[in-house]
Amino acid sequence: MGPNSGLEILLVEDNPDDLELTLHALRSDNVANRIEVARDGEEALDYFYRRGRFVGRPKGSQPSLVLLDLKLPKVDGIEVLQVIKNDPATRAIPVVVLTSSKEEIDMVMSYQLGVNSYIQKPVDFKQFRETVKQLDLYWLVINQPPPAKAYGDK
Amino acid sequence: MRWSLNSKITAGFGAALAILAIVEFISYRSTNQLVETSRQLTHSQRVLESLGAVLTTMDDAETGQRGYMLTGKDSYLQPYDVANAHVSEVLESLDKLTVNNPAQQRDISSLESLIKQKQDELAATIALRKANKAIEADQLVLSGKGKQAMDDVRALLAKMQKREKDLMDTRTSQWKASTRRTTVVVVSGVVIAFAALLLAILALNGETSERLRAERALRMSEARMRLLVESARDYAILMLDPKGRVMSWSPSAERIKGYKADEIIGQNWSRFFPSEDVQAGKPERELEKALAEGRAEDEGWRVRKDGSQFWANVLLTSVRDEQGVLQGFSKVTRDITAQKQAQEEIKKLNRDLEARNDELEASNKDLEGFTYSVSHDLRAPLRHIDGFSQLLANECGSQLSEEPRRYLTRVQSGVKQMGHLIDDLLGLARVGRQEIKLQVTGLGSVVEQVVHEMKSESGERAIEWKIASLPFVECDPGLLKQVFTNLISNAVKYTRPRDRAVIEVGSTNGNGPLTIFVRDNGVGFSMKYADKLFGVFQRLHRAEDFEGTGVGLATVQRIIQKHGGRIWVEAELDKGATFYFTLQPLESQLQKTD
Repeated sequence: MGPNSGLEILLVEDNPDDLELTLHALRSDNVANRIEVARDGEEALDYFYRRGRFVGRPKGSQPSLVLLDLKLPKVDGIEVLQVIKNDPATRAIPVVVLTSSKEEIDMVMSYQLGVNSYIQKPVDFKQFRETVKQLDLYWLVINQPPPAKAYGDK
Repeated sequence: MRWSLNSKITAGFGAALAILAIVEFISYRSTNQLVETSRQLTHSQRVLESLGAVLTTMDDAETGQRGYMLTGKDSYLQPYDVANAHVSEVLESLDKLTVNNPAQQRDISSLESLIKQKQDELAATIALRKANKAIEADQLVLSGKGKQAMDDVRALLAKMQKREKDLMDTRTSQWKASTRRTTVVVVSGVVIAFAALLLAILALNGETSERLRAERALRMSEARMRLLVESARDYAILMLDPKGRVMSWSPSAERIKGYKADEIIGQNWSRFFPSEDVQAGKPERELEKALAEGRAEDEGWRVRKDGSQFWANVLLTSVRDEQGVLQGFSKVTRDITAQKQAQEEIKKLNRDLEARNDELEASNKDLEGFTYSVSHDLRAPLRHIDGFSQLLANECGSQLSEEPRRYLTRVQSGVKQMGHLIDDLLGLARVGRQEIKLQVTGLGSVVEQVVHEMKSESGERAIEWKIASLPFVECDPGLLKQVFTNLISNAVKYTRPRDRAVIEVGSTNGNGPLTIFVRDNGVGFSMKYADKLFGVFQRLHRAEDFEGTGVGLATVQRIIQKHGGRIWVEAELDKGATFYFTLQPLESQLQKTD
């Protein structure tokens, strides 16, 4: 896959340790050519709506996968999910919640808002790496991404 | 026309009076008639006597004449002289007596002339005798003129006597007839009057007894009412006049309000109200409302004689007579202070309960927030430790000697243990606050699933599974699965040293509740520690012998307790352990809902 194939992952993660470990796991797979990082919910929304430091993000392209943590500063993951899953322009983007807990309330809210998958980060790093690898494989290789028409133009 | 009882009585008495008046009149008239008749009879008697006197006088005159004629002596003339002198007087009196009887008057004229003839004859004979002309005198006598005259006189007198007697007879018979009529009239009048009186009296009697009956009924009804009013212990029942003054009082009213009847009757009912209510015009308003709507009900404070207050329910009802004229108000007061206090007490308890509930909810919220944070934040550093230690091992593992590599492994196993601990604690917390969702569940299939998972985890180990057929119960299947997972994984874990492990799951159902057991032939433990087994973090084995967090059995106990059951253990060191727990059998639950 070429560098312009547009395969891009948005990783929304506030914790630097988690960020480093996740990036480590993602890079070792060599699947994505670009990983964009948002450090809180507000940045995530800036990314989708091309605001702030994402003002210059090219139009007409959306990430192939969003990995969303739930406990985030400013705007939390559930709120981000609420915004993008209610907006026709972003609704089709596959979103996987990748978080520490599997509290029932989090799972219920996420699924009700239309999350595509919910994954609890395993404590065991080996397991975590395996999980991330399968995630990439599934969403970026096996799964057919939404066609351009699935995104209502903004 | 129907006569009222009263007019019947009046008519009866009136008729009796009228009849008696008539009878009285007739009697009076009859008496007058009797007096008149008696007077007339007396008169006739006197006429008869007078007629007799005429005859006697004439006889006397004749007797004297005869004696003189025979003897010639003057002394014999004395009766003649007396009679002669008397006769005109006698005739005069007769004339006077019969002045109203023309027939007699006519005869009296004849009589007078006849008597005159006789007198003349007598006088003539006597004169001849005196003149000593006896022969002429005898001749004159013998001529019969004198005798004739005397006979005529006698006949006439007899005729007159007869007439007078006839008159007497007629009058007597008239009087008798009249008396008979009067008697009939009086007797029948009295009988009729008596009958009328009798009817009137009967009617009066009827009316009286009816009135008596009505009065008795009224008295009875009043007595019953009074009894009712007086025996109503918890109700003060009384009457107010249209202006709100107390008209009647009852023992219960005295008991509730403290006034005696003579202290309160005639007083305005406003004194039952607290002064602020009186100032606000509440008593008048209540009366107006009862007047307008027929009734007014109120609940509020009322004042006793001693000034103390009680919470009352007061029902005021306007009382009107048959014509709709307001007679006053009936007032029923109930002292419901105790009820009110009980209500207040309940309200206060409810408020307390709500407050406590709020507290509980708040602490539940805190706990939820706590477990949420634990779930997110406590696990993250573990992941980081594990992640970076593995990266370290990966990247410099080859450069490290045996010992530092072992350290890294120990770090990672510590992290894993911590991870399990967090998961188990979260599980226990979740069981604590989670509502159980009951559904009919076959325990057999739950156990089958768990055993299936265990078999894949226990790998090559030789385990003999003895799974009896298990009943259906109403339980939370997810939680019961946790129970079996815990107990069976414990059995698998603690039979590890056995060459041939035997794990048994079954149930006993005697008279009591359904009992499920999980038995193993593992290492067991001493029963002196049995009571510690279900406490959180309580372990009877060293971590290097048997891994574990010490949370599992605490969670199991929590779940069983939530289902209304209990759990206990029988064990022997080195022989094995049997965990028992009870559940409500389905049949009894079904019977309960029936």
